[in-house]
Amino acid sequence: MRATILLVCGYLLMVSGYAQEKADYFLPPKFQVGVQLGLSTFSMVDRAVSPLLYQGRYRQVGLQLLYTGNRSRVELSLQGKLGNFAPAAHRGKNVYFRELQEDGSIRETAVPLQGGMLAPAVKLGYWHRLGSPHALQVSAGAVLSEQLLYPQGFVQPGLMNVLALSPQLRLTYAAATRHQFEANVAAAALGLVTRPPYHGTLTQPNENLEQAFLKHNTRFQTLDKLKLLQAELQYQYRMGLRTTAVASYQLSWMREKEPRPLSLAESAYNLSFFYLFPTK
Amino acid sequence: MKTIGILVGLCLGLSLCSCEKGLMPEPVQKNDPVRNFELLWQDFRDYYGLFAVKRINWDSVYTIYRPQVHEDMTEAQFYGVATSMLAILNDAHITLYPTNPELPRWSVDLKDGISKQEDYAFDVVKNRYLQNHKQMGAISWGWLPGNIGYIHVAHFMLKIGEVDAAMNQISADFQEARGLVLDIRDTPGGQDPAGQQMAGYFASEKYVYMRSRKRSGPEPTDFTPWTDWWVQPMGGEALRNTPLVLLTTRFTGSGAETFSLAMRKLPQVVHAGDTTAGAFSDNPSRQLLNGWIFSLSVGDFRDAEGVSYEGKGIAPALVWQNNPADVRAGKDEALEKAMEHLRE
Repeated sequence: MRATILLVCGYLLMVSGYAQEKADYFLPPKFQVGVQLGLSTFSMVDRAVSPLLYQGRYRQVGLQLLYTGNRSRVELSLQGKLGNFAPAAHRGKNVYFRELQEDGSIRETAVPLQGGMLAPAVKLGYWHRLGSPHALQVSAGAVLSEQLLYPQGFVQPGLMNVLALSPQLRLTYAAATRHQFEANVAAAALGLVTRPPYHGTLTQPNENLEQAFLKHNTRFQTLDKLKLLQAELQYQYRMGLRTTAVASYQLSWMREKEPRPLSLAESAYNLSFFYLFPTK
Repeated sequence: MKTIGILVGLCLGLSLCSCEKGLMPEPVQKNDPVRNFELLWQDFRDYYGLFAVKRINWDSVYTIYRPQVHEDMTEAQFYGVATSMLAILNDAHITLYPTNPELPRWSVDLKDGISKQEDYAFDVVKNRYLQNHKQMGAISWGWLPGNIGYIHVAHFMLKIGEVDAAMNQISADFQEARGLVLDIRDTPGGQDPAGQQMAGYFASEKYVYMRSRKRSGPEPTDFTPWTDWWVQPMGGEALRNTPLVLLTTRFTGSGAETFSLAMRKLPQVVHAGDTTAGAFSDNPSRQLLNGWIFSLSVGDFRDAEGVSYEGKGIAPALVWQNNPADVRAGKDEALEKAMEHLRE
């Protein structure tokens, strides 16, 4: 994926050299819809189920809706991630099951230690530009993010749901009409966290597991127990009047203390293509 | 253009660092037999829910087994010490899954990693006794000779809605049944709420059938408050007024045993067959530094009167045990006795 990003960015740079630049390409307000594809790698340690460092990869697809006003910007992002994970120190290992067959023979089945991970996410962000328009702009705002981590496997490190409110800061640099760079930083101030309880089981009378998980294990967590940081670098290339290509790298880090510490870090590489809808 | 190139290069350079691994604060612990033993023993101390019920002093267990572990021992030797220690707990919900193919999955109810039931086969029931066999997921039903309805539950890994769908159909089909056999002789368990919901179709009034609590902290006395498990009457007039034989064996475990607790309190139900497995609690999986996985009972599950059957199982009112040779020959004597009982 890194090589792909490198190639795409190289291509964009090459193309941009020949592009005819127009100053009025991106006059706000404007609406954009974007499609995102990406890969990410993640590492996690969930002491609630295992002392081991787990590492994995996601493939992700996303849909983004963006509104940019004179001073404001609103972004809605829907993302689906599907991946797998394995203990870093025991990759390739299996556990074994022996079953007696009807003819009296024994069949042994090897089941890999790895597991699957499903991780849908939704983000709603708002930014307000600080100061007057310049090539270099600073915006401040907040993002409400919802992230479910649903591992499947023998052990289930990382099982959680987080709804977090994070103040964020954005630095935008319009290097040229067609080229823009952005850097974003966000840190959670408040989180509504769902994780399995201390004993690690979800069963409750009269309830299916999913319902019991959310209903009985959700609590507000403040900064002393939940730390959630995100940083993102973006390069945007205006391909034409209506289309923009975005290559981004996002680094996320989370640590949640209860009932046992969970640490999770993720590097995501995304390519997005936005389509612009002028209002007139 | 040059500035843009520099900035793009800078962005790429930063992204290619892929520095998420460096953000993990957890130190990598050394994987050796001593640390694995310490972790295994400590996790049981921190999470196991049945020390008091089984009257086991876990600290004493440590003093016996810790000296047997040393850094130079082989995986097989460590496996021997670990399984010997875990066997003390006599808990079929404790399973050790080594990652070494030479070492079999271990539990007190497995022999060389294999579970083998010889006193029952659902195929025998289907082939010799059952007519008009229907199935909805894990739940099967049909008719036995003498106008007796038969229900078999392969497992309770069911959602409540799945139970409702099957039981509504069963209630409609068994309106005219003279008696019912509910067969969970090979049911390894599943979700307790699924059994709770199913029992409601046989109940005329609401009642408590089980109390449970689970570990809430690292001290062996740290538990959640008790939770009462109620059976709430559901539909099914025919089912609640029809005599029923509940058949169990030693292979009736976990969620099938909590279901048995619910069914045994009903006036029209007779519990027959063999004693159940004796493993009621939920049992999540955890992991050692060597990658091995183990499950353990984190709860204390009892009947409505506060009696625990952990490690013992629930003894039936009528003991009807099949001879394995009969089963191999296609005969189910316990089922025949159940039919006879319902015809009387």
